[in-house]
Amino acid sequence: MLGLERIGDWFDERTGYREGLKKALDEDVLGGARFAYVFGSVLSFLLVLQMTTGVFLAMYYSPSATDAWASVAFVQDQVSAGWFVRGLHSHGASAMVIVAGLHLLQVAIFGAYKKPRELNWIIGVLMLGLILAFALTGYLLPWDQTGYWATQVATGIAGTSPVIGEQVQQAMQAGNGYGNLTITRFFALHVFVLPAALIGMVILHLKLFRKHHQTPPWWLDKRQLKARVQPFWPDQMFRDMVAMALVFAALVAVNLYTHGAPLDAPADPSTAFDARPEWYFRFLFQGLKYFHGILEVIVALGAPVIVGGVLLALPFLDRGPDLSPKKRLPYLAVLGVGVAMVGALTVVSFMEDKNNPEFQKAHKAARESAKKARALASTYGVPPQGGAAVFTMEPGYRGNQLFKRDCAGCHAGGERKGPEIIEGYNSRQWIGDFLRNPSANRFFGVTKLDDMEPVSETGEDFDALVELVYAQSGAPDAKPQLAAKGQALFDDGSCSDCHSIDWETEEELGPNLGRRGSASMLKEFIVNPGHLRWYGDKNEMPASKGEYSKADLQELVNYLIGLREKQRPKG
Amino acid sequence: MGAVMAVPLVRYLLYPVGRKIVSTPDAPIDIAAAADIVAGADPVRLPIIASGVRDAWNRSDNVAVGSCWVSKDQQGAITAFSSVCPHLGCSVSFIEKSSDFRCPCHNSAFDKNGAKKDDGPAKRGLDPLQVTVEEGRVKVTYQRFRNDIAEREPV
Repeated sequence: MLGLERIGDWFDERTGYREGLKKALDEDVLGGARFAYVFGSVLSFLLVLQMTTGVFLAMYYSPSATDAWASVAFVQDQVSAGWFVRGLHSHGASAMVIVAGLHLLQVAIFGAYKKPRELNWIIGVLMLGLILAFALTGYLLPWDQTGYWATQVATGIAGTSPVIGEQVQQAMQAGNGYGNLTITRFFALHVFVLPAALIGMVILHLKLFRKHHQTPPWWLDKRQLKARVQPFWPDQMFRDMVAMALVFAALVAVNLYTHGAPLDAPADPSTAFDARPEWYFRFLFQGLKYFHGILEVIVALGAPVIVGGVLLALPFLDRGPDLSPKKRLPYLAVLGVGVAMVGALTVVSFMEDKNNPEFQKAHKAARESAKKARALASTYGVPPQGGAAVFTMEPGYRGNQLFKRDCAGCHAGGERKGPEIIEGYNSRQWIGDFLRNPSANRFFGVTKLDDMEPVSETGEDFDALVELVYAQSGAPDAKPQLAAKGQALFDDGSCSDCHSIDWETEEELGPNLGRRGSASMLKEFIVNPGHLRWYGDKNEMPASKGEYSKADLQELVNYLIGLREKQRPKG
Repeated sequence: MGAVMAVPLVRYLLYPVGRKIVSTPDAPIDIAAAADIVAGADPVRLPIIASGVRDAWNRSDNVAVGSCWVSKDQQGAITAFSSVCPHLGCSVSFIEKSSDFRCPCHNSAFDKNGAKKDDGPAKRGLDPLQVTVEEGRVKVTYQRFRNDIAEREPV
């Protein structure tokens, strides 16, 4: 201990830190320490937490339209404890809004905005504005669907400002639309401008607080106040730390329970999305639904100005020396009505969504899309074209695109010219349906090849023939014994009058069924369906020789084979 | 000294205002085969996948820049509406039950022909996109417009 003290002495002689510390901690709390005074300290604690987690997030975050979502998904799903850090930051923002609101109410109820503390109240209100600006800019940064669409609404509202609306909107979103510059601008605001402004104001706020001290409880007279003086350290500090610990514990609990903050699918301007702002902006969002035309502009831009204005003006309106809330009822009533309105609009907004089946459906689809996008990002990585390109990494995606582009015109949809190729294609069910009615509209009914007779076998014989055709594809679940029985029926019955099933034989009445539906067969067939092994001069399908790269042909064939395992849609 | 710093900094900051930072080529963009759009059926949402899309320093191909609601009348004429809500820029949906367009954000409503309905805050109808049909392919000219004003002003 002696050693430590001597080190302390050494530093004190050179810095005078002991006196500074004493100044910082030796503050008399008139009327005694209280839990009512903890909110400011809790806010400082949360601010430090936000700055810490924010700096850590910035070590992985990439502020560009193509990278942002991918980097956040990486933090969320790959980086050790990434979800925890990001979750703390996101939930921490909510906590700041809540605690700032409570702080404001405590100060208002205690009349702490009165002379000589008017300026500190004003700084506090401005800081609340900054906290909301943090929330607004931070919401966009992941560049996910929620952030992208919800922020469009916010900048859209700015665009309705009179006269210079368009310029204001374009300055905010940095250009005529959302893109790279929107992110870099929001990022710079979120991590440089707003923190600098907030820290500066916090310093001023604390300086002024120290100058005027806390506003003592109105129910104690001067004599009582003097009689109950407690020092900041340890009495108030202890309460502050208890409150910080409680808030931190709650924050961690919520974070663990939610497994961090949500991350939606990457921003995609071509999809539908039911955008919703963060819960603390819900009242504004809901309010907008009720006001149309010119009223809308007045409400959207006027309401924040009026609310902010009333708050800022409060110390100049309520000027009496009385601190008792009873004597300041009109002012507190205005505040109370404001709080009640915000609360009511928030509840109504959530209830409307809860009771809206369309929204619920869209919400569920959005969650599934997010899950898929993040799984693909984790497994395959995100292509450099941008977050939304992660969906192209899905196995079968390229094949599906090729099919849609080149095949679907004739093989799917209302103006088909060939057999329908959809989910369930070449499954046992499909082959069975075909053999029972080859000339059905689904099959060759729409082609000139409609002269095949339905298969007359029934029961297990029919199943055996189906299995024989199915087994040609090389499907791993084919049953060889049943297929062998089918082969015997094929050879003995009428099938072999028109078909072979050996790959080699050519120029028969019907196509050779050997290897039918296998990858090797499909590849050759797509390239040259008029081969004598198959349709010869009866072929109607355009050959695509030389049109596909090897890789693309493989993708297309994989897609076709993948359909076999899928369920045919009803109807 | 203040002015020496302030003038360039303000100009720097406002550089994007009034500029086409994000742009899609003016050429019509292929969105579907004309035959795939069923005459008289409900509108379908089709993505608009463009190439040569500029976003500040980036140029990308094959990226989704938006989507449109496409329908074909009994005479075979095809119309397309931008899915961007003219109110505040959310993405409108077609509701089969009521056979109209609704915005999921602030409940703006538009009839099947894109005209603004009385309920809802939008100040104009859905924005039509110019449609051309060439060799059986439907092409649209992609454009975005300023939101929440009665006129249609491209941005």
